[in-house]
This record gives sequence, C-alpha cells and structure tokens, in this order.
Amino acid sequence: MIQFHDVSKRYKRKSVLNPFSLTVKEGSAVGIIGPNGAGKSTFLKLVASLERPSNGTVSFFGESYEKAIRRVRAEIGYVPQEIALYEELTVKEQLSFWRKIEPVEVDEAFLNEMIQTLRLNEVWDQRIDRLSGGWKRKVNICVGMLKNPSICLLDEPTAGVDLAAKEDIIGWLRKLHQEGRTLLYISHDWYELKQLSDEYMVFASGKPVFQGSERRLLEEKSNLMNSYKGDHELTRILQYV
Amino acid sequence: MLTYLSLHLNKWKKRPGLALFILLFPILVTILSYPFFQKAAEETAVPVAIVDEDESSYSTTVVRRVREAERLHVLSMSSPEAVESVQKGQVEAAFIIKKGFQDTLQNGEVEETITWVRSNESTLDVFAKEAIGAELMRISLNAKAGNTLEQSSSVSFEKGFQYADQFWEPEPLFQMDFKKGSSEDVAQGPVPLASWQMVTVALYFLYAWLVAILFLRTLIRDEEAGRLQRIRITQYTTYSYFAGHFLVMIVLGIGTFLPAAIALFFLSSTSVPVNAEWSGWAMAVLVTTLVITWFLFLGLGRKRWTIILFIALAVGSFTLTIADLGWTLAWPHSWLIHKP
Repeated sequence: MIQFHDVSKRYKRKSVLNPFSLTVKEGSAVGIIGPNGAGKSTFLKLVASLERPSNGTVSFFGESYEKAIRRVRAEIGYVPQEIALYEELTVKEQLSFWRKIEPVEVDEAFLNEMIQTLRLNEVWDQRIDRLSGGWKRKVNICVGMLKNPSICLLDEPTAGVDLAAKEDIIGWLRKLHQEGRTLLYISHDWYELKQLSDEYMVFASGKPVFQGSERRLLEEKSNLMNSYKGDHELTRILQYV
Repeated sequence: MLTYLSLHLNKWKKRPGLALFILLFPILVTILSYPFFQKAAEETAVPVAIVDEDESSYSTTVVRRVREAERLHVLSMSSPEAVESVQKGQVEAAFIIKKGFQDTLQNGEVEETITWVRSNESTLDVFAKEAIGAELMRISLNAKAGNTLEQSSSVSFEKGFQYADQFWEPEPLFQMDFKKGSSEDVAQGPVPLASWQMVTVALYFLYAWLVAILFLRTLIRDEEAGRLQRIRITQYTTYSYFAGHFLVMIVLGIGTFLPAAIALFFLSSTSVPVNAEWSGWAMAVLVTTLVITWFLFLGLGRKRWTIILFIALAVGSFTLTIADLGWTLAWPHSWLIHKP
C-alpha cells in the first residue's frame, strides 16, 4: 500500500534517514521502536507527506506521493508527538475549529464515538491549558483522528499519560485496527506496542533495521543486539522484547 | 480564511482585559493627554501677518474673522514690515488687503484684492489662505446680493447684504485664487496637520505596526507547536492559513490605528474632510507597510529574529522620520507624513 524505495532524508548536511526500502501493508498495525534520534518520527512524517524524501520515492497504492498528495492527506490521520492544540480554547472550541477547517464532512457518528471512548465530554468546556497532560493527549489524538482516517499515524500518543487514560486510548486504537484501519504507532512502551501491533519495525542508526512479526523479532533479537552493540539505548529497548 | 479570524477573536475573548487594553490604549492615551495636546495646539498656531491698507468695514471684518481662526496667530503690521517678516521667517506668510478692497468687492469683483506674500519656506500658510478666502468669498457674494437687490427692488444694499450673510452660518470654507507675492510658484498641496498632530498620528502608526509585528509571533508558535503541520495535513495546503492570518494582521493593525486617529482628529476639532483625507491616507500607508512586513516575514523564513528586526525597523522608521535624520523616504513613517 505505502512503498518506500531507496528513500533517504537529509536536513541540510545532516542525514536523519539513511537509504531504506520497505512496504507498509494495508490493514496492518505496525509498532515502531528505536532509540531517540533513530529517525522514527521523520519516517512517520514521510508517511504523512509532511516531509519530502531527499532521495528515493514514496508511493501510495502505486501512485507517487506528488500525484496522490490529496488522497494521502484525506486518508491519513496524524497525531504528532507535540500537543499541537490551541491552548486558549476549550475542548469543544478546539474540536469545532479543527472540524471547520476540515475540507471534508466529518463523520458525526465516528466523532461521537471517539468523544465517548476518550471521555472528552467530562472536560468539554475546559480550556486546554488547564487540563492535565493525559487529557491533553486525548484531545490531541481526537483532533488527529477527526477525519475518520483509514491510516492512523501516532507518534508517542500516550507519552506522559496515566494508566487509566492509556488503557482507554489503547483499547480504542485496537478497536480501530480491528475495523480494518492501518496503524503506525511509535512508542517506547513495549507492553503498549504488544497490545496493539501485529508487526514491528525497529529503527537504529537512522534507518529501519527490522520489519516483521513478533516471532521473527524474537528470533532476530540477539542478532540485532550484536549488530548494534554500541547502541546502548537500542540494546535496552530490545531487552524488553 | 474567516475561520482564522474567528479563531483569534475567540482567543482574544479569553483575555478580554488584555484585548481591550491593546485596542483602547492609544485612545486612552489621547484622552488623558488631551490637555497637553490643546496647549501644544496653541503653541503651534501658524503665525501670519495681515496688512489692512483699505481700513474699510469689509477689510476690518475680514481681519476680525481671520483672527478668530484657532490655528492662526494673526499679526497686524504695515506692508514693508510684513514682507520683511516673511523674508526673515518670522511669519509663514503675509496677506495684504489692498486699498480699494471694499469698492472692488462692492463692484462684484474679487480678483487681485489681496496679495499673498510667502517664501520658499512657507508651508503651513494654506490655513490662512483658506480662512481669508472664505471671508473674501462671503463678503463678495453678500455684496453682489446687495447690489442685485438694490437695482431690481426697493431693498437697500445694506439690507440685501445682511440678508445674504445669514446664509453663511455655519461658516463654509471656500478656496480663492490669490495673486501671489513671491516669485516662486508654489503648488497647492494638501492641507497639512499641525506638527503635534502629525507626531501623534505617527506614534499611533508605530503602535499599530508593533501590534501587528507582535501578532506574527503566532505564526512562529504555530510552527513550533506542530499546529501548522497539523493544518497542512488537515487542509492539504496552508494557503488559507496564511491568507487568514494575513487578514487577521490587517484587521489588528487597522483596529488599533483607526479608532485612535479618529479620536485624535475629533478631539482636536479637525474638520471632517481633513479627518477623512488623513485617516484614509494613513490607512493606505499602514496597509502597504503591513503587506511589506508580511512578505518580508514570509521571505525571511518566519524566524524569531525577524520579529526583533521588524521592531527595530518600526522604531527606527518613527525616530528617523520625526528627527528628520535623512534616508527618510525609505521609511513608512515618512510616507505617512509626506502625503502627496
């Protein structure tokens, strides 16, 4: 569905993604792990079409991203790592604003379900800057998923969220996946990824060094640890697998 | 585009005190410092000399009425003294009411009844010219009415004159052509504001510009917080985001400048046409300045340091223009002051 062919990304002289090729299959739930600065977020931004590759091609259902950009953006829901919300607005005003700028009609039933599941009605009239980190994350997810996307890109959506809120979010995302949506999910929490993913991607040294099932990851784990011995953060992450 | 205007209105509504303060600050300053403005207005009245060679009732009336004009400081003197005063720059201009002034007007003529003596340095004497022109027109038309009635009916000249005069309240302003006493042809320029008014308008302009510059931080923060990325993925493009924010910046600039300028002109009893003329010109310059600022901001990559640069430019524009330190035509404040 989404194919990367010999893609790399540089910012000025700094290489953030070294050349790699991979395919993300439709309907898969991909858990992405890796140390900080390994290129996970940049990879997600490439999928979201927020960044252009410096080299190589990205295609969406066989069409280049340049041609399919509108379709890509219409089908992709992106939840950034940052709380990308207007802090002064209430939850209600926030959702109303993002709905207004959405070029397509928002699916009312999906939105209501999302509000119920994330229990946003409990803080409906509260300003974002007066909410706890967990609530802010939930609103951040809700805004990112507003268009009822078929491909959901989530960059550490539960960072700093309390356990109860985390369970709400994971449960809802699992349901979305079961309904056939594609998920690409970055997290440092292996337990969380295990609940959601049917496939994993491991990033190290600025590229994906592994893509496959949990069973294959367990088989490859020691090889990976040997290959990236110097990368202590990666080793620590893989120890949890 | 309007969605972004409503977004910012919504944000400002959350801090009504601050929003109102930003909007009303210049008006408050105007009202609170009005006594100072009044004093400044008195001190900056334009000095003009009037020579009454005719010493008739008509010429005396003209001199008396011109003396009533608030922005003129009228000095009576002899013809040689008046010319010398103009040459020395002690008065902006001199108006010499020639002998036979009353007879000429009664005969229905107005040409070459007053000589206007000015120098190359004269700029503000057009006020006096207007005031004298108005009186001249008033008397001449009254005299014409008096003459016509006397010839065609039993009504006396005086009665006809008085009758016609009552139609001149409130006093209208008319422009008359004068025979200029200076050798230089001076183009008839726009009605200038008093210097204190000009400085105040320039300060409001600076304030509005600074408010608009500070608003640009919103765009930087949107990018830093990831909101712009989110908008890009939501709306496919960022055209409406930028167009919407441009609109908000213009509204903010106009909203902080125009009420203050109108309040200033209103308090200082500036006539409605002059008020409209200057407000319109200032708005045009402000919008042009904001458009340039906007495109510079986009062109320089929407970086934080550009805000500092723009603040320095705005303050520099005001300071260099007011202090007349050269290179003034490059600055928006100079465009504001040198209204074509």
